[in-house]
Amino acid sequence: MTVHSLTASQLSVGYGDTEILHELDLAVPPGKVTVIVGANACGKSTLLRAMSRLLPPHRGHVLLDGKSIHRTPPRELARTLGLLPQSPIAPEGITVADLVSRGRHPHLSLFSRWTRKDDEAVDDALAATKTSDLAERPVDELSGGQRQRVWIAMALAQQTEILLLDEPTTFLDISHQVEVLDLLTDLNHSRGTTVVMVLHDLNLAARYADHLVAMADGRIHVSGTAENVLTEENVRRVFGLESRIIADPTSGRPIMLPISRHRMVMKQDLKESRP
Amino acid sequence: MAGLLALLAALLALSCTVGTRDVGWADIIAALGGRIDSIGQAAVSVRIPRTLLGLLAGAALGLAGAVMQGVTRNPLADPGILGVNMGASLAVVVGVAWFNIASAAAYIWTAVFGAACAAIFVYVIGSLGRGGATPLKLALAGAATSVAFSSMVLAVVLPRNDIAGGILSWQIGGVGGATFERILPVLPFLAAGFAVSLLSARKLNSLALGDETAAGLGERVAAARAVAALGAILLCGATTAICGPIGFIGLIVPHLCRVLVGVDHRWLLPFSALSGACLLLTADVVGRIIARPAELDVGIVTALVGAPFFIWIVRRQRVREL
Amino acid sequence: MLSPTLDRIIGSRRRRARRHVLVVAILLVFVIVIFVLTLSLGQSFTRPGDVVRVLLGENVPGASFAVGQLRLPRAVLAMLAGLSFGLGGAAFQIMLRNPLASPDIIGISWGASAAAVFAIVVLSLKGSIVSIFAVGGGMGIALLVYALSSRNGAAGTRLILVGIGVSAMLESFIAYILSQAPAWTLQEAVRWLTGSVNGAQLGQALPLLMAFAVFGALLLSRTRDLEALRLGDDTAAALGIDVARTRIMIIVTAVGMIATATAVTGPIAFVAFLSGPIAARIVGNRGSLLIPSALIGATLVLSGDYVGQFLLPSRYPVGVVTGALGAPYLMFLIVRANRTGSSL
Repeated sequence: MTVHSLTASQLSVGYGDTEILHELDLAVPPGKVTVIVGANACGKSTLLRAMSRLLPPHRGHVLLDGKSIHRTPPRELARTLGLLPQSPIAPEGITVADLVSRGRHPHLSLFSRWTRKDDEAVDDALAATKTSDLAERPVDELSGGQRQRVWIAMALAQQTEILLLDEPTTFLDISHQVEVLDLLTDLNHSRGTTVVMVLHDLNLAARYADHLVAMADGRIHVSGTAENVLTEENVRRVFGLESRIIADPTSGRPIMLPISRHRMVMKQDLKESRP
Repeated sequence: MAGLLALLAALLALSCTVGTRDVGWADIIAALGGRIDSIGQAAVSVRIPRTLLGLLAGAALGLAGAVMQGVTRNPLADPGILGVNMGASLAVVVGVAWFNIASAAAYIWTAVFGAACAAIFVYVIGSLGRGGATPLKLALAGAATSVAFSSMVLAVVLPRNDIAGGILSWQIGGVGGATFERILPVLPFLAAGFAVSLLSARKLNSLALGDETAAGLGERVAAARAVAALGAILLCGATTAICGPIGFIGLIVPHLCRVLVGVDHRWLLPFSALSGACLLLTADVVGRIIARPAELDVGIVTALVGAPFFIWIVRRQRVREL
Repeated sequence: MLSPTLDRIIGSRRRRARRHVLVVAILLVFVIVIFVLTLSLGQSFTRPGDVVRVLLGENVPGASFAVGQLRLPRAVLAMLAGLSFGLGGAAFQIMLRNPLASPDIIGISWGASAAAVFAIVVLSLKGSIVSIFAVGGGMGIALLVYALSSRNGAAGTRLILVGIGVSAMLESFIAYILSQAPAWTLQEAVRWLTGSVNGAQLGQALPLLMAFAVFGALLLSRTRDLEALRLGDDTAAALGIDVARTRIMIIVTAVGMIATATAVTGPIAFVAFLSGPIAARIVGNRGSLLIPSALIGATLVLSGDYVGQFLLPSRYPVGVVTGALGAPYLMFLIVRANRTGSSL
């Protein structure tokens, strides 16, 4: 598997006159899981959309293997770079296998026919996401977690080496969130797929990220390993929140515990707050 | 308020003088005194009832629009958009074609009945299911109902060459050809409609805070809504019976008045009535001037002016994606 | 290595494809049957054999005039208009992912109709120049509605509401022009307000046929892109589609087709709106809806015209029949969308 590099250089993006990202630089480490976190409206979804050609940059570039993605033909780009948007739409009554097979679109041209290779890609994607048993079911009937796995299967059928996901765990309950993130980690390990995703939950982000990126005000505040990024100082800067960081006993990754103004039991805090 | 009244007076005078034939003040005063010696005086004696009807119809539609927007808490509510006028129209057409109604009172009762049915129908369709009566659902249900009713009007009218011409020109909506004899029977309906609508101002103020808050303030929500809607329906039905369906006045006027006097319905309602009258008279006068020697019906002028306004509101609003 | 799932996937895909072809074939036969029926059944009955002989150019006494001069032009126009409305309407609905976004609801048919009326009544033009006006009008309104409703990309809901407003304005405009026309007939008014194939002539069919062939071929070449657009703009873009360019391409072709048809028959009420959803009912998710929708459109106009001419107490133009049929369906759609809380 060739290793593709995806980078943003001096990237400024916005809607209309309001600029959301300001001269941002980011290099996505190939073959790793990168997670972008930040407060609401800090520009993390905008960054993901700009990296996947959904938004044109005002200034700067997004480069795939050194070539601007906005100059690459869209179909060619879609064979290397996949994206799962935040709220994709499933046509009414469509079956799982049919939806997943839509992921083959960039591999088909106007006159080319559906081939065995395409069927195999679909089969493979279903197997990887453990949705083979659902193949004939209508997507409407699935649970939230199953549906998200099916969407990931569609992105897998696209057979891209880089996969961007915009908050893949929103609207899922906690067990399904873990299920989806475990699945993405499996894909990263078994296929070497480069995964870039935006997550809301800091602790899940720290748990799953090889490379954690914290954004604030349209800029990257800090990036690196979870241990380096998720510190009390950075949480205060990025989220404006006082916190305590401890180590997760099972994974060893950092966990952020917010400090509230109430229910403090630790003696020193109580003393400090009493003049 | 005083400015608006002055404007209205000026428009009333203008509406009496301007037309295919402009007439002098002397003729007007003479005609008001009941003389129809010259052509000018004859023209004025035709324009006086027309002006009166314009005044009444405009006020009724403006007020009805304000009440409907209050009742549905929906900035796109308007007797035309919601299909209420078309309901009145269909009822009248069916009455004329199949039941040979002829008396003015029967006309008006039929129209009010049709308006009420259409209003209830559209509101029920628009508010079924989740989210209640959102602007989009109500506007769509209203548009669908309007199209359905206008198809039915055509279906009723087409085989009847004897009444087709009259009904189709009535369908466009206008105040031309008004006489005192035709206006007189509609007055009690309009009076009742004005009274009920204006008296529900306070109830509309509580409804504006949302059903639950209104109930918390001790308002009987369903009853308040029904009473206010009845007032609006009386106004629309009666107006449509004599003028035909005139759209968009009920949509535009309350928005303009909200800019002028704010959202308190005790001010908003009377202002909407006055501004509605001003707007309709203006549209009528403009229609007489721009197409000389012919005349442009009020219904067409209001649609040409009103539709862009409707679009403007839609654009300004953050419409929720369904 | 053959996994059992792979077999199942291939099997079900082939089954779907076969059924899709079957459905299209059945619809095609259906359209042909209705076409022949409307040629042989009229005020008098003509045997299908004679109909075929007339179509082949033979002179059949007693049938040549009724079939060749009266019924054939009417049926040909009805069929072509139906195909155009059905295909163009479905393309819009799929592209904007909303059955309400059909050209007759968002004002495009009204734009074409208004331009045609203006050309005929005010400028006293005739023939194919009217079609050019209609295409221009339809295209202009399409761009206007699109521009007015777009703000950081077009929002579906706003597009529909803006379209309703534009439609109201154009409808008044048509009513006004017609009321000012020197020889204003009810039949003319009905044609431009609800659509009709009365007084059809075979010569009118040529521009329609050409527009349908050219624009239809272009549109059908985009079938796969349209299918991908159903997954949402973002997903479609991620699948390698240039969304903006595809949109423009589809708008131009669909409007071209619909406007040309409107210039001849008027905006036949609700055919563009109804064909797609009916086709979806029949075809389900077995394949693209474009061709089935076109065939359904043809069926609707042919049978609507027949019903309006012969099966009702008095003669109605086809638009009144389809309008009366379509409005309840529109309401059903709104009620259903409300109940399920799903998108329309």
